[in-house]
Amino acid sequence: MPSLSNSSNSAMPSSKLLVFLLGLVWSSGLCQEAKWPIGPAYNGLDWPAFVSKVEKAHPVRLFYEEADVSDFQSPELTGEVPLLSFLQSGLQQCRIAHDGMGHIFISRDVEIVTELSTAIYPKVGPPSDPADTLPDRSQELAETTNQYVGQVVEVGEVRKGAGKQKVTLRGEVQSLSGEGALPGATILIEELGTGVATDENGVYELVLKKGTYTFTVSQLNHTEEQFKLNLLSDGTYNFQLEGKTNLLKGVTVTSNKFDGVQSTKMGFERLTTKGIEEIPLVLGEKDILKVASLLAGVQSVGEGTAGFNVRGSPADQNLFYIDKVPIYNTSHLLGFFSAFNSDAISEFSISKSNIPAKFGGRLASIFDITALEGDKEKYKVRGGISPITGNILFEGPVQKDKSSVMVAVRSTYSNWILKRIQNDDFNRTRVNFADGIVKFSQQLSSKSRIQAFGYYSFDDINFAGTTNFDNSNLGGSLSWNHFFNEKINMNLAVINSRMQLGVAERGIPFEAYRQNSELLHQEARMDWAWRINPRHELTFGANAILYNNDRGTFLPSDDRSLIEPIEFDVEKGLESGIYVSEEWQPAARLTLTGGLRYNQYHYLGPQEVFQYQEGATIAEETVTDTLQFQQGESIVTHHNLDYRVGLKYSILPNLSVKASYNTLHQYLFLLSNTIALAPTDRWKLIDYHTEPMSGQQASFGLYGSFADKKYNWSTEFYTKQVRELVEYRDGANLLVNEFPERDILQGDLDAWGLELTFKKPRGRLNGWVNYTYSRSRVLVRGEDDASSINFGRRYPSNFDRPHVANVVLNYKFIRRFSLSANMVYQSGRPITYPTNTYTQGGFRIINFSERNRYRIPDYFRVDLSVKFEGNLKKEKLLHSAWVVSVYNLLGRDNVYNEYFRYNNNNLRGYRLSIFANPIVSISYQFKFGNYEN
Amino acid sequence: MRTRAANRRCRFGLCLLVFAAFLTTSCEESFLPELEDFDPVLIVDGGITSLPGPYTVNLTRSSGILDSDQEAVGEAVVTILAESGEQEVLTEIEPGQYRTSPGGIQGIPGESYKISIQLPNGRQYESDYQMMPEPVAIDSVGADLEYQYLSIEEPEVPGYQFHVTTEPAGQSENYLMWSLQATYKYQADFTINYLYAGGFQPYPDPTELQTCWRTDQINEVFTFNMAMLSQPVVEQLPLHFARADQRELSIRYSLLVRQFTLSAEAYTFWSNLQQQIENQESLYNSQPFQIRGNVFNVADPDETVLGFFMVAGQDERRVFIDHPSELELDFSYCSPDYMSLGLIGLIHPANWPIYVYEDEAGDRALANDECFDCRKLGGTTDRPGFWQD
Repeated sequence: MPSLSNSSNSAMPSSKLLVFLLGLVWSSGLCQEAKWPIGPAYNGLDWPAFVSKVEKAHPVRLFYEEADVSDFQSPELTGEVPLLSFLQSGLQQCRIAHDGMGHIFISRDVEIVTELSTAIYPKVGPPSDPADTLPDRSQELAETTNQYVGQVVEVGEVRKGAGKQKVTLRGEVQSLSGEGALPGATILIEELGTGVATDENGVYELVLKKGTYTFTVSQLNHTEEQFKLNLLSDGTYNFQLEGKTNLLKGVTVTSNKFDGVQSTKMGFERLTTKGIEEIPLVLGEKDILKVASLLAGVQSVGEGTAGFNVRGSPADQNLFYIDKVPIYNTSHLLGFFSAFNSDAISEFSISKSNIPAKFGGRLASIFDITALEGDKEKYKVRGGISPITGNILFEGPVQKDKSSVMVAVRSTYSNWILKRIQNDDFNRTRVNFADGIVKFSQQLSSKSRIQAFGYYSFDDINFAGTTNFDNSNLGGSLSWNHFFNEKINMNLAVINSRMQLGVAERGIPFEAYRQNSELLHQEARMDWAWRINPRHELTFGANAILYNNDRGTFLPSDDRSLIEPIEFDVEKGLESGIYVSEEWQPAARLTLTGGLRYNQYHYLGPQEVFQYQEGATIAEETVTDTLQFQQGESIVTHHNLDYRVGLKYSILPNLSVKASYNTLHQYLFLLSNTIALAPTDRWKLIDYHTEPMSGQQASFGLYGSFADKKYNWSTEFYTKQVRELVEYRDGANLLVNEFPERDILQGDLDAWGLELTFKKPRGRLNGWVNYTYSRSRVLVRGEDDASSINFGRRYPSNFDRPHVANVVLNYKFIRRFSLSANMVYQSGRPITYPTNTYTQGGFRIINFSERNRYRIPDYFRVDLSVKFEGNLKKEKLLHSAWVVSVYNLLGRDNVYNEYFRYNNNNLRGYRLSIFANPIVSISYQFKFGNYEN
Repeated sequence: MRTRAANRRCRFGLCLLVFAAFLTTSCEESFLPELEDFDPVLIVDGGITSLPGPYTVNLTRSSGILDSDQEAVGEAVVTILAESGEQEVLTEIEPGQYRTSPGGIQGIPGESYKISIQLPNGRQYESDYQMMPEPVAIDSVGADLEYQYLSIEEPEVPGYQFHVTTEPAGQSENYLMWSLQATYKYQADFTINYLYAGGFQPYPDPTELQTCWRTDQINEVFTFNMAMLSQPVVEQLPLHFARADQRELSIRYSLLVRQFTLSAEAYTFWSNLQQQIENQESLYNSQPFQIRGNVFNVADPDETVLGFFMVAGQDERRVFIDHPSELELDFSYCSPDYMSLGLIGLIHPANWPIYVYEDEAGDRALANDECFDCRKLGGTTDRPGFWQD
């Protein structure tokens, strides 16, 4: 093999070289004078710099071996000469060939032939799209562009810039692979160590002193490139990046590919579906949300459970948005899988620290999920089969280059398996779940775009014919994005989301029941971004949410049932907010952010509200009065002003320090007193008797990178307090509960932690390592023990796991074969142990005392997965890949729960492990046609 | 074997676990927790019901989870008082066990009762007056043969699912609790044909120690709140599930169902206990907590006192079932050890006499004691007075 040399010809087997040469024309000496002039600007460049510059300046690519060009002499030109002539004279030992499409081949030893034996190679014309047959250029570029910056482009005119110190540069970061302008791309000015990111529309703006700068531009799915611009006056420049063009996406863990050092964001992570393809997951189900729990500060109570605990907060303090639609039940199959088909998601981000002012309503985090936007040029179909589900995705243009649609459907086929099990109870067990996503977008004009999004998911599970559990989410959003001018952009959206929940129990006929409930969320929002000038960016807007929480009915589900029907309240609430937020760069290295969000919450009638004796425990006996509220009448109103403050200071180009502080309010919560979220948990609005939860968080962190951003690291410290946290009286039954206020206790939660993250975002070996030390404690102290928890003493929350470490590694051996591994270590979650036992009426009773005084054993798990791709031939109809994954490779009996019971008059402890053995699964992915993922 | 059984309605929690176990690879293993010391607390265990006395109150102190951590509290003055003025000081018949006299105080529905306890150290405890509810009567107790999951570690097992049906309750009686006592007849596997004590002597009554009766309190609490029903009646509410393939149901089995009609406060106590037991083993368990009773230190209401002085209406019913003949038993029988018989002379005389079995062919064999003496399996050879064959 030739040694790696030019950025373009690495690893090109000689046989392929011959194929490429098919159809070449000897070009030396032909009339190419007019082509590709080079001039004095090339003087003094060595070969690599020369090549780089030439390739930047002209639509050419040079193929050569390093040894062949060792005698290259730096040009000393006085005027312009054609490139080929120059090469011919400069490399006299070499043959120079050109194929008429910009590919220039330089060879000393290999004889370049014009014709191949037709006996071996069928005679074909020149490849129609030479870029396709060439080795992937973009990949190597990522590694090499840092060294070789192409020519300096002049922006503006000297005349216009005369007399000005500072100039404004604006433009877009554009994709060369047809994705248009790229939002979230970062532009780093190497000389200053500062940078900006493009906005939602891929637009950036910078104010700089006149002069020449090196801009490093990167974006998630595109290769990083450098550009050298000489700014002469105000001007426009569009940076263009190439898409990554592997056939089936390679191993790229691109979490946090956004520039953590330059961005003002803290406690922010971004993951792309492409990035997690090889992360091993249980039962072969690719699940982007479960990957979230491998990030610092994000935990879950146990395996196979729904919900995340972000920085020591309960799971109902997270808000999940998918294309602006809030999803209130985020899991399938009781928590084993998330309710989002990862194939249909392009990326998601988590804000766990400084939540942007445009979001409100939850204290701990915002999970912002973006569904894949359909391709505007080509039709594509792909799908996959795992042991539990099958899924298929279609995308393509509706009106070419103007509008596109994406449809993705996923469904389980586990009923088919269950029917085949020779066991009565399983035979009568039915498990059904599915989800679907539709996304349509239409470019109305160059300034205006609409997008329609729909989401549906359901679960229907029946155990042994007696217990039935079903839920569904149905949501949609319609949004319109418009640019009034280069500086002002507006987004309008209407959103609707509905969650239904049903539980039925038929095992005992006389008490057979069915319970239904439904939460409806209707929202309208308006978000504006105004780039006043490069140093000031203002975002502002408003939203209003109308909640209609039908707490449902409790009905007999059988003729023989004696259950007394209950109709619960329908709760109504209106949560509205207006916000304004400003990002201000007072100095090159300093960025300040500030935001205000004013929230108003009305709990609305019609409703009948009990009043309880003041100062007494809320209970049936202390009801003093009943208040009647009419339709639309405000029962209670809360006004709150929330703050967002942040600062970023770049100490060095690759080192920054950030701090932030914010306050938040939350007006609804999950009625749940189980340790893991139960599938029967329903939402409840803040009402006459409960206070809104409020939270504040302060964070401080250091962010850095080294070795040309090959590695980056961050350390973040946070402390947060939640007031009016909702907890429940001991023994509360929340399933059938007409008056939840009698079981609700409100208290405080205090959490703090230190998160350390080290990442290698790119390369054959990539991944991350993180470690978190954190604590989370709760205090609920009422007037008496019955109104307190744990006798009014502070106790560790159910998800207080002090030590957590995650390792995620991907290694790509060759393009068709890659391997990835996870390691997860966590302190055991807290648990309440018995203190003593006693006898009561002949029963042996276990007494418990201090809550969460003990811990279950520590958790440790290793997963492994390998991905094999089919051959990468271009013209195949079907491309496919197999993923074999092993969850819990070591087969460690990680404890999910511990409990106690009497066995032959002896009290014994029992440990339950859910995934006690390695679980091997195989899944298959396919796509039709030839295109990148 | 676990004591807690799943009812016919596949309880959400256990069903889920079984299902999860099928999907995944769940397992359960036992362990001994290491616990910190617990300051001893007073436990009150007793009550008065609508059935004739005598009534018993036990006082203990408990400082841990072992039997040795339980200590009787003697020499206390225990008094049951009726609001109408009647009262009786109970007699300590065993350390920590206090009893009313046979002709003493009687529980009458509608009357209110409380307990008062004076410890030798001078501390005074009592409960508030509670009214005794009118007892709800049992209509019938039945049993159905079915298969159930008892744990994720075992496939379904056959057994009898007992269920109770009540008479309609009165207007104000909503809360029920059941306490179950099982008595079963069983046999040791072998007859004692000879005794060996240096030489073989024929045993006069080979079946003398073969048949026993064992009585156990079933450690499952069952409660029901009729307030959620349109008619105050319980119909075939599942109670205990008795495995039919084990020794306990190898011959004949009797279940005594005691049905208590409770006050709301007592119901909360017992239903919390029930929930705490059942809820523990679910995927979606809630936090266990200290369930406080209704007895308090008069001078220091913050002192922890556990246990409930129960004032309840009571009815009871006993039922019998036989081993279903079509069902095979599935427990480890003793196997006769013919080989060791030749070595019987080597057994140390301290272990004499040794039981010897002789099979139908006339071959003699040794076996463990519990293979001959049914009492070693927890029962007694005295036939209970209530037993009907």
